[in-house]
Amino acid sequence: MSDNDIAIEVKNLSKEFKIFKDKPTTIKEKILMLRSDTYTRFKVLKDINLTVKKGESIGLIGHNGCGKSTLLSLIAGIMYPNEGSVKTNGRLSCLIQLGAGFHPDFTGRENIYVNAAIFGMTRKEVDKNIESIIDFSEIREFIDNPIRTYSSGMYLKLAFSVATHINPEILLIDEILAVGDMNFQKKCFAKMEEFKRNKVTIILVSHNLNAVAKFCDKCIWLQDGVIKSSGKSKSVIEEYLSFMSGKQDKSNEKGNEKYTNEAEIVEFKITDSDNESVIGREIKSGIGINPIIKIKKLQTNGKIKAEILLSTADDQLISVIDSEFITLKKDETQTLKFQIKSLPLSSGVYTIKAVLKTEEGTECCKRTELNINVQAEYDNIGIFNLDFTCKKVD
Amino acid sequence: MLNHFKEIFKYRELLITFVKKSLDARYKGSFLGFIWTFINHLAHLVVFTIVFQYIFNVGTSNYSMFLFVCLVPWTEFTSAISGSLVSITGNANLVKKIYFPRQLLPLSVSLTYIVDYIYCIPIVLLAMLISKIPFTISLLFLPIIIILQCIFQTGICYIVAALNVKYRDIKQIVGIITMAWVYANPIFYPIERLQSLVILGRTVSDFWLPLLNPISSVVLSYRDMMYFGRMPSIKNLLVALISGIIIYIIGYLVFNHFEKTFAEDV
Repeated sequence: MSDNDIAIEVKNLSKEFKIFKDKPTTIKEKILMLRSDTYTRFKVLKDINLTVKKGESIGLIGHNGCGKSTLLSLIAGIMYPNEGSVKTNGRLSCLIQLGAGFHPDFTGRENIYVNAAIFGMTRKEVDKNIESIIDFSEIREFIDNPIRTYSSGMYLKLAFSVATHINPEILLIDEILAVGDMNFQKKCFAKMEEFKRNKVTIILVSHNLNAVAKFCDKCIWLQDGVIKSSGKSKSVIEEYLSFMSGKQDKSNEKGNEKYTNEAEIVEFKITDSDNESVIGREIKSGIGINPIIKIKKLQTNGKIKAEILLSTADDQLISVIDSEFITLKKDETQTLKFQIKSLPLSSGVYTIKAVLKTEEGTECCKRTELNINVQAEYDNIGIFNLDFTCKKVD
Repeated sequence: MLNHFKEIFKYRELLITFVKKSLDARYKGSFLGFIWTFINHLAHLVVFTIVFQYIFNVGTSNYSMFLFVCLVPWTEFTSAISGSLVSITGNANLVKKIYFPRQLLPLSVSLTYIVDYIYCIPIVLLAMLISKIPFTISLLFLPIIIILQCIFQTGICYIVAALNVKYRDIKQIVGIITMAWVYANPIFYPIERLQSLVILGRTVSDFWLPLLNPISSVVLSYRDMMYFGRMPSIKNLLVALISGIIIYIIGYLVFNHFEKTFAEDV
């Protein structure tokens, strides 16, 4: 690989923050020691190595406070590392906050120029694109009003419109997809796809795992300042999810248990129509799957039912299916086989949870969950990948 | 250092935008706009004339002009310093979120006040015309003197902007210094007053003043051109140039030293 193919190279990067108990902010305080100058060191990033090739789109995932945004700031040159180096090759734009540098007294049009200049656009480029920027923002009527009169939605639209018209080679995006209404997010995504097609190197920080899975080829999982895992998006996300759910289980065990121990799930697996497990491999969208659950009644005789919850990677519930109530004696086991005829989902990672419930509706065992990795033939936005045709009728 | 200028050149559009923005923002929403600067300076001149020429009856002929030609650039100089003081802290949202060379912030403030002064030159020329001060060829030196002031001023701007991020009470200190600094320059009094002052065998006017307060050479050059109608002395030009370069380099180094933690400290 020649140097020209590399867009971002991060070597042995470490960053630490000093956490002051009570930082002196004036000379007087510093000299007289009115405030204690003691601090503890907090290592946010530890020895990060990372190479991103040109045209790649990388997702950066991890729980809050794991150092994602700090890493982005370091790559962007906003912060300096304590150790190691960051090299970038190409015109870089960093969308950490939309509308940075907007001046409330300036009109929308004037702010476009100011904001675009901050992103490194020349006046000529803005002149060329101004009409398209205004159109994209959908606020042409108000473009010559001072932006202090704008609503926050208009403000955001304008800011995003400018941001999408910059012409970067490397684009760093921090969670901006999380803002705005559905329509706005869709627009945002379409624009990102366009960037991707134009071979822009993209690093996307997001908690929207579905978006990351769909959009990014590769994924990096940061955990407490180190790269815990990196590779193909779906496998990394799967790993991340099972780690997170493992963590949740632990916290459940420690805290007040939300379930009674009247039954347990002995075994939970998901197979396809050929009775082969679908876990740990890609399955085609639209095929049927069979969640199989072996349950055991504990404590007393009684009636219980099994529920299967299907949800997206970021815990958005898609569907719940359940069994009939079955009567089981104490310590009796029973295997239930659900048959889902077709699973027309878009590409991505989905979670399937199994839970047992009593007649009163209380959960009576620990939830068990598995992740499945669906691959659709074509990508679309949304959860479902519907089986459809379309033809002309007169 | 070379990289420093390359970066500034690369981001020149942003620099121009910053300067325009702060010039525009100052008069945005005010009815008379830039005319306020004219009115402000003219009011100064009228007050000086009344107070010094008619009440104090200062001996120097045309004292109000004697004062005016130096005080206008000096006001811009101190305004640039106090403006750049908050240039980093006041733009925390930019510094934390977007990359661009941070020097642009104090530099743009410095340039803003230089441009502001250039806008004021017509007023000064008008005042000269009214006071019957002759226009001479020496006025051609004006751009050079302005550039020399700009270099020196920008260096100071870098220093105060960077220090203010770490220590917020720099503001008070700078306030006191600029208040006193005006009297350390021969603005209110002629330089000749310092000729008789001798410290360690050297006169204040010829040795100590240019050494300890090199910006005074810029002040004197303004007066030479616009009051006496004579060429600024080579010595003043050299002192201004050398001190300007030294201060600029110091400013650059100080700024570079503190810059690394701006995003965390503001």
